[in-house]
Amino acid sequence: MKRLLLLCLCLCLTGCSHTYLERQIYPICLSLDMLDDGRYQVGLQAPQSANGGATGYDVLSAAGETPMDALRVLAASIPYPLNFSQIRLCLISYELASNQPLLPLLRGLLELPTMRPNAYVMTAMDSALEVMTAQKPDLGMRLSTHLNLLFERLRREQTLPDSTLSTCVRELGDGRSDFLLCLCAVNARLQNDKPEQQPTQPGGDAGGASAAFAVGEPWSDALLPNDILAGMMPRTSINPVEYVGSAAVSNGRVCGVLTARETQLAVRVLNSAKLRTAVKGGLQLQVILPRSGELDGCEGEITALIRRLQAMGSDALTFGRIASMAFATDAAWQAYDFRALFPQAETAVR
Amino acid sequence: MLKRAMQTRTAVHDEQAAQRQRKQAYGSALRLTAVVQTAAQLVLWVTFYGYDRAAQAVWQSALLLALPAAGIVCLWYAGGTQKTAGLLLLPCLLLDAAFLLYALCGFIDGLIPEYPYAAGAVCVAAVCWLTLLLSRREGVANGTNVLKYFLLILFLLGAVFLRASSRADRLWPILGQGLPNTALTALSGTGAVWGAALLFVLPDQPKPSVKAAALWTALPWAIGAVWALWYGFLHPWAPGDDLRVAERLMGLARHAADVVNYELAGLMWLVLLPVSLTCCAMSGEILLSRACPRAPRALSASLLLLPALLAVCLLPRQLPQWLKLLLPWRGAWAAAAGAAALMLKRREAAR
Repeated sequence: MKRLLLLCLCLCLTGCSHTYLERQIYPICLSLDMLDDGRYQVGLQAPQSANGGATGYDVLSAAGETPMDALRVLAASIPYPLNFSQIRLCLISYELASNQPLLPLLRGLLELPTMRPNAYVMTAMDSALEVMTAQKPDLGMRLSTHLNLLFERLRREQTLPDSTLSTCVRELGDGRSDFLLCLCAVNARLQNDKPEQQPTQPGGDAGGASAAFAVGEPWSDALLPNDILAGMMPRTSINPVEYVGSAAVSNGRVCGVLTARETQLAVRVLNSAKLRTAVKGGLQLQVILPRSGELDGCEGEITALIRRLQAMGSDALTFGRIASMAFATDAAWQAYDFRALFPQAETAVR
Repeated sequence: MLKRAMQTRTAVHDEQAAQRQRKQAYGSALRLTAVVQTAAQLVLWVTFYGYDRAAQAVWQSALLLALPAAGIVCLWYAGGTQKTAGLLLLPCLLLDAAFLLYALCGFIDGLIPEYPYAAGAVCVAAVCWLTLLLSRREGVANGTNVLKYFLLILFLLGAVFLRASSRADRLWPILGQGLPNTALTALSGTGAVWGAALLFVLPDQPKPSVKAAALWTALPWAIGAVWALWYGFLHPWAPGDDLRVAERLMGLARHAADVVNYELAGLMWLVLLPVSLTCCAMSGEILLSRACPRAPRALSASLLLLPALLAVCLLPRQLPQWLKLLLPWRGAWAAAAGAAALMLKRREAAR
């Protein structure tokens, strides 16, 4: 009995807070944008009712000199404290992610006292706030359930890079390799509530030329290539937000875009292929594919993908981490200057 | 009486055997409190200082700590039998108490920022003090003994089974910033293993066998090494990041795959730190009451808690710097005290 009481006491200690659960606001999505005047805009999407039902979602936004300033303004303008434990998705606009270092932004978010560490970080074309506002859960579903199901589906189709908040912060802090962030955009045609005009079957020509965006270049619809729009990502009947590929990170910023097919290849390579590097006599990157599986006959596509990533300077396939294993000390690794050698490295896929 | 003897799992048939078994069980429980205290100090050293200095090679520094731990154990195993020798360890216990109280108050401050910092410190110290006063002489040690599996499970959930994406390739470059830096980091960590001396000072019993002594010493050291290894696997933050106490303590758990794991890691600290602080205060009480049996219990119980509380409340800004400066010296102090105890013992034997 004493042990049981002690256990109950210990469990109760973790929840000691003077704020009742029902008197907190639990946002499901968070957006980060940079305004024209250089200030940051933070947006939150939270359920209208405190009981968490799918009655509707309010979007709140505020601007400030820093993201934390904007959050403070936002918190001051609402009657209840914010609790980030239910956040599923953090959207960052492409422009912000390509112009500003991601580490301070994401670390600030991760260190919010109640932040959910496994919330996904995604890049939004154009305004993250607009993309967040446009997303609608299907058939009266809760937004959190809708997003959970969506992530599960993307994961099953191997088109969801590992870009949780904690992973991003860790990889950015480590700096030996890069990663991919899922990319989403509003399909303007679907937003106009004309679903009958849209192809009902996801998929399409994904093998054409794809677009890479220069660092810091602001996004506009005119740049949205057809092969990205016709991506293989799951699409729901009423949701105008499409998951169209991924944004590659290099040196702590987003540096370019991969199509849905390229993202799928990258995720499959990371999941099932063996990666090796040879550092003596010039850097060589090797991908050894499994004898049979989903990557059969994809050697050419993978080689092209690696070349694209090399052109962007993004080591999203984590060759840097593998190359660092050939060095005994951090000083030797730094002296090797992998980042400078990576774009010219030879590649071999077999 | 017979009921207490059940803790030994051995059948007893008379009162004397029960007394003997009970004493043995109490001795084991006291050794366990020493293990908990040392493990807590090692885990805190990795979290606050070790990882920042050696990054992915911090596990090697933790492994190197076996050497100073073995040295301290040898000295106290050979010499720490006088009743007054344990008093030499009081400065180390005082620093331990201050460090634990500082970490616990920082953690509570992170959890409930609305509450005043000093209020948390006073509450924690008062609870520990009352626990010592209201419990029986053997109560804290036996209570810690009851919690041992609970603490171990929480530790495993907070590190090994955190379900974070821990990868072995993050341990490379394998030597980190080089062997000299790893050795220097280990040197700064010697203060965390001094608690091994308590294994032989606290129980008022004949010394255990060499094999048993080695096993007792290896237990907290292994816990510290595993904790350090997971820091290397995960890289919870970039060394040099300016983090608050609560952020440091939850740094590893931030990378958990699940909110449940994250909360359980928080629970680990909320159990480990107060239990360790109470064990620390109990150790001070035992050492003082052994040397001065007439000292009132309320006084001996507050011997470590009161100075630690004053330091945390009155010097909240200076305390981190002082701790950083003083904590590494606990190892040297414990070794010197062990050598002095050995000399005293030999002098007594010569007479």
